Amino acid sequence: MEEQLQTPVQTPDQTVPQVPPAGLPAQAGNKFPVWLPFAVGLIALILGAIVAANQIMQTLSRTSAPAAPTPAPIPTIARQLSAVATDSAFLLLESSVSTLSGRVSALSIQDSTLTPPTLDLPLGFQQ
Amino acid sequence: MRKMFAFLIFLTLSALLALPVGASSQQAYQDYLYQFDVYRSVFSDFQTARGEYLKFQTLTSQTTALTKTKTMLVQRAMLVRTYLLLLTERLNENQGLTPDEQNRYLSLVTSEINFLDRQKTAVPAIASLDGAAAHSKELETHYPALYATMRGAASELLRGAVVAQVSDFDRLFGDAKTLIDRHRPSGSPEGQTTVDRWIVVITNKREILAQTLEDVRGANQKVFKAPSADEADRWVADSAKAIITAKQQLLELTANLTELIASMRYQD
Repeated sequence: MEEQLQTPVQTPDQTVPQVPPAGLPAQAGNKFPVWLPFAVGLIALILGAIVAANQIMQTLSRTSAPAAPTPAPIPTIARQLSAVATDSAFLLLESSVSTLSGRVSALSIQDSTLTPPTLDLPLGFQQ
Repeated sequence: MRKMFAFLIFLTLSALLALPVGASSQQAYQDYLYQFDVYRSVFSDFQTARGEYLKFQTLTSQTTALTKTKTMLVQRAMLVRTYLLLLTERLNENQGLTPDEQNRYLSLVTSEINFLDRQKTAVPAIASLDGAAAHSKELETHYPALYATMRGAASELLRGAVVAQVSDFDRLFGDAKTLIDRHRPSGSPEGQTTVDRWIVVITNKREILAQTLEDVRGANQKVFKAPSADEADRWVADSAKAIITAKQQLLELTANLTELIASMRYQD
């Protein structure tokens, strides 16, 4: 087991391929395109511009949309009761006016029971 | 035991007197509806008999026609009389008409009832179809006056119903002003200004309502004097329009009075 690991079996017919060692780009030399960093930079720039534009659009749409109406807080004003408000005559008057209001609303100004009878007066024996 | 019995009678009488005011007019209305049903039936029989007489001209058909005509004439007088009795009850119950107005209209209605009673009493003496026609002609001639009385009284009852509510309004408005005057020294100037403004508004609107009610009354008086049923109907229509306006004005006044009461409640 140890021998297999230490000495790989090689036959005279096989040629070991020349693999350039990884992590040494300088050794790649002429094969690495010169424009690649610029292209990557350009793509990064375009992506950045798209993201930025998207952000700006979102911000604009947020500011242009009508704001949802938020109920304004109603100030509670503590109104001071007048001296008459506790008068029993005032309380009676208040309820009487309320009763009258109901009666007036329900007042019928058309009474079908008062419609007089319709009569056929001439007897009609003369032809 | 006798005292107990007397007390029971007293309680029964008190309970009878305490019956609702409208009970009499309700009964009168039921009577009127009943008489109307009877009249429809009797009138239908009369029409059939008349048709047969006009077609066959036989003695039998003539006799039947005379019998049915006399029955119809009696029932016709009964029907109108029952309607006039309904008006009488309603006039008695009405709270908005003055005693003078009530008496005047009751007098007119009573004279019409007397006319119909005379008509009804004269029917048994009718001996021929010509006699029946002459008898019917009396009612035909008198009918415009009868119709004017019926329509005028009915319109005045509607005005009275509104006037009754207006009287209640006036009483409550008076009570409100009395309270305001009594508590005026303790109120704030701002509160007093608001209250005084409401009083002016209500007073002005009340004057307009008074004019509208006067228009209704004027139209109703013309109904009473109308020379024909058509003219009476025209004045009734005018009166009805003015009554609608009066009710609307009274509704506004009541709403304003409610506002006045609300403004009295607070100092500012």
